[in-house]
Amino acid sequence: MTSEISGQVLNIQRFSTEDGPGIRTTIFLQGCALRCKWCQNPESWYLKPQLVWYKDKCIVAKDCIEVCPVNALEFTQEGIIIDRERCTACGECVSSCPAKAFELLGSEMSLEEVVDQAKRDLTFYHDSDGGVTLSGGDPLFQLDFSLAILKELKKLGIHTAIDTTAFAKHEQFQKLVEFSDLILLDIKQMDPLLHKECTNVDLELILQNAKWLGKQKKKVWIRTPIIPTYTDQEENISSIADFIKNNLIDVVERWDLLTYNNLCISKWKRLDFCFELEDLSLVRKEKIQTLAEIAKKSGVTVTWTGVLKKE
Amino acid sequence: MTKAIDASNVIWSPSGDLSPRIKTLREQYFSFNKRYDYYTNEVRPYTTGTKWDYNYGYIHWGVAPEGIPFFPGFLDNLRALAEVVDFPEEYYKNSIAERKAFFFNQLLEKYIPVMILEGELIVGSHFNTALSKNLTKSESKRWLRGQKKYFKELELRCETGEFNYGAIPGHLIPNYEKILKLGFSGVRKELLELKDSVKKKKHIQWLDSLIESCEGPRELAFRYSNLALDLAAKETNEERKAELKELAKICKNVPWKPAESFWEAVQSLWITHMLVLAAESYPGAGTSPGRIDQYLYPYYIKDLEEGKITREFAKEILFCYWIKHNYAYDFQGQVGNSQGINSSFGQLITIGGIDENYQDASNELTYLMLEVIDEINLLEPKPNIRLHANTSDVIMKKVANMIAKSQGSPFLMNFDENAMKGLIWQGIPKEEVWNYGPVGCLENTMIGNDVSGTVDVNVNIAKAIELTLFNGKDVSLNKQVGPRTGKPEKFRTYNEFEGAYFKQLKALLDRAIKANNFADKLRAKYEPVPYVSLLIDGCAESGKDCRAGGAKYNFITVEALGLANVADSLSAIKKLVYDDKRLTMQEIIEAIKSNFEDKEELRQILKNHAPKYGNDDDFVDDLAKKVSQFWGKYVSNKISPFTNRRYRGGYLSWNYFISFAPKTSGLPDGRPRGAFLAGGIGASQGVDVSGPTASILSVGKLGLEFQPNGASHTLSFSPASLRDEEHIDKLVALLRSYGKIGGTALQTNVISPETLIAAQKNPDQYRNLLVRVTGYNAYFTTLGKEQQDEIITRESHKV
Repeated sequence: MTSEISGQVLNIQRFSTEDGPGIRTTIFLQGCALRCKWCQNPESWYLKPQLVWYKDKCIVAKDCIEVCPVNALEFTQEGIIIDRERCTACGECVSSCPAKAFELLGSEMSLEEVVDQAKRDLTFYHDSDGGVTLSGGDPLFQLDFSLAILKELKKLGIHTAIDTTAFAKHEQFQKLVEFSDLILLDIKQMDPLLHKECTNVDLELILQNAKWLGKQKKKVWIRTPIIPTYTDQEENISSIADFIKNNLIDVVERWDLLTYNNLCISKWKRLDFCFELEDLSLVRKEKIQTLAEIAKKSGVTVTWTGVLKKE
Repeated sequence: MTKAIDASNVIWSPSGDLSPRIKTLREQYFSFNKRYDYYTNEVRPYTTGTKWDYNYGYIHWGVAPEGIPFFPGFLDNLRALAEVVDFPEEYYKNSIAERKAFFFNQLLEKYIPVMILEGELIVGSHFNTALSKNLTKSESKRWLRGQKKYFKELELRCETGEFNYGAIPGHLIPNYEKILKLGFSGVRKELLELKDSVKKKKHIQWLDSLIESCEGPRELAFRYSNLALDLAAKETNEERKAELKELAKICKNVPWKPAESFWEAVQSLWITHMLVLAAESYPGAGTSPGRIDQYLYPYYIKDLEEGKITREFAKEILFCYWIKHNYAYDFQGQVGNSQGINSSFGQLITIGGIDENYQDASNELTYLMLEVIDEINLLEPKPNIRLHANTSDVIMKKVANMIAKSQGSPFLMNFDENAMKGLIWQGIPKEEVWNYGPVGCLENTMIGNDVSGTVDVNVNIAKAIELTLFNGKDVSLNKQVGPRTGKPEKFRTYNEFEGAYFKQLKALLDRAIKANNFADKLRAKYEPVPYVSLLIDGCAESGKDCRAGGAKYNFITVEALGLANVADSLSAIKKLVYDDKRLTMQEIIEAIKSNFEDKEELRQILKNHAPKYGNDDDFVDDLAKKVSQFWGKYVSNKISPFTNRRYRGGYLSWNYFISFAPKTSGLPDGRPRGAFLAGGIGASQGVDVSGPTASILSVGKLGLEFQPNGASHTLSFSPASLRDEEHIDKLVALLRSYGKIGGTALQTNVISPETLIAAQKNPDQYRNLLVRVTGYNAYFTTLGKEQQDEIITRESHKV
């Protein structure tokens, strides 16, 4: 293992049961090209770690204010205010706070450290036909690091999955797929204009990569977030169904519809990001059932999961 | 589409498909006040009528510390209320065991009431007793002096929060299979043959007491038989009349003769079992039937193949048997449903597991019993399923599904490979160990030949941290209880601190063992229980009572609690004082003296800035392992001199993580005085944030074979994580992995915090919400508020 290789890791979650088959460890990597308005992990957008402060943990020791080398923290009546321009994510406040009221989301980890964590649950992967999933962010964003991790995992005989947007140059996407056993591919919106509006990137590149993937021999799970007004149109699901039927039918094992959940709002706020969808309502059961019926026309197994609006 | 199971809003309830008979019998059990006029199984005290007779002893109850203030009252009340049993004066010339056998037989022949409830297929109604000690005046005087000496020491050790202890009845698995096969008549014949080859007078007297003890069950069963005939004569319903006549026939045969049918086998089992509870004057705690799907199976399959019984009727018999076990709780019927933290007695049954060829031993009866457990929704008998590498997927899935839909409470799961490792280490031969069974909550013993005293000594190993910090002193009592191991402020290295801790721990264990040796001797000398010894292999041959080391396998178990607090405290001191030098020992000691008053920052540092056990972090897990193996090995070299029973380790903290909490000072893990200690081998509350796989690996690292008793480990799941078949399969896989790398016994909770809070607010709507609490299950609403809070906090912290 080359010890110099390192990357920015947001979080490593063990006993992950929602990111592929069996019991898995999901490695959330930092960095993503998309800016989905409903993003569940906005802290993963940038490579730079993000500092957050938890009001309920704070015991007002104020050690943070003293140790901050760039005076980026201010204690006000509403609590701690982080000057994001000044903050260099040095982590001094994190280690000084007795109560761990600060957290630095993301840190540099060596390949060795990541693999050491990833292989701890080997027995569980074996018994559950599980493995490791690279997620994020998008593992495409730190391609070299992702590839290095995947190669090490393959050497250990661990099943690998990537959870990706497929938004990358073809050669890059191809490389990542090569070392993965399963691709969890996000297809969100088939209308190019709407796609651009709600994710900030063009659809075309994604669809090209997806079409290529359809001709490969890797297993694919499609994932579609069902976001009211953004992706929950019946035409949209119908178009995705057609796209799967025409291009991916040989490789897709299942298609998961994931309903919007608003638990991410507090995350956005802690990051001082502007969340546009605050008033968005949750998905109704009737709606998701209708969409699931439409999705079945693709010819693949459809599942749905997530929070629903209480009727 | 995968079908979603909405587990969050459905509480495990009795099946709607129960027959009217079973529904009525089940409801009748729960209606203590309604049936008060005609039937309760409350404690019936019996005496010889002499002025010096007692029927209650402290040493049997010392491990229920919440009862301590009431012990003297119980002693006096039970004496005053006791019914006099005819006991001729000349019997005092005999050995105590002979006297007890005679007295017990008198009781069964003439005194204890018999009753058959409407619709019952298994009979045997009254078994909660407080029996005479049958001592002479001078014996009684010495016994009482011993009790008082014991009680004084017990009060002291509960005051300091070091340990509690006692010579506790129950907690064994009698050889019921032998009674089914031979009947008491067959056992009696064997004893008579043995008597012919014995020369020593004492041994002959002992065998006489056992021989006599064979006859009481016959007489009692005859009384039930006669009653059934009387009832049959009056019965107008022809179907019931036939049942009663059949019952009359059955009770004429068993348990005196070998069981000839499945119905007879279950009836024989119940009478034999209920009389163990009666003979010990102990309401069942840990008196466990063992592997009932194994020893009842030959009767079941034979009847089924010969067309004598249907699967449905066999199930009906089992339902009746299941309900019977619950009547042990009438013991505390007067205090109503709010039984507080005492609400589980733990008559543990075991199903599944391996056979002598290490192959899967499960059979059709295993499946039938799984259905019974699922559908009847009762506390007793507490089910334990033995899982192993060859457990079928069908059973694994059934278990996982039952966990998912029933708040995780229906089972304790025992993992054969890990459990047997410990039993082999303690000396059980490999060719016998496959037939082990747990008792009480999860304590591993052998079946029918083993008395392991599995809750006799309960030690708070976190207390030794306090004693280390204060040079052997209990800081709130300002009392020197441990040796002087030096002022930690002067320790230059972590190893000095750790060394001092081990000295304190050893001394604490020594104090507990010394105290318990006394209790063990007192009981062995004055309180033989020949009826139970009759059912434990080795007692007849050795000439000794099962309480006096007569069994083939004899141990006394030291159960520890607070392992996680110890590991986390050592971890904090190592990391923050000696590695990082962020804090000084002096600061920590001063802060703990004031219970962290005005030292919240320091407490938060202790809590948040050192690794915590339960997260698969080797820094702290290695410390936990070192401590665990150290004390496990240490106690296994100790022997109780009077009975020759060897000590062994285990982790079963029962409710002591609450009662010891106010007696234990704040600790360097950031826990303030009064906050609950860590139970079993679990992490401290709320600090295991890395999920179940990490928790399992932390436990697996301990090397639990040095605690042959086994260890209590709880994992909590949110209902969402078990919502459909796909996720059930993941739980199955998790359990399979547990058997390879985890601990000996696992229990699960699948409850959302919302459900628990709602149950706390509206107990009436959640009466049947069963939860497991370190080692036993209980109805949530019957738990004390503190323990409810504990469960809610634990659930809420799960990721």
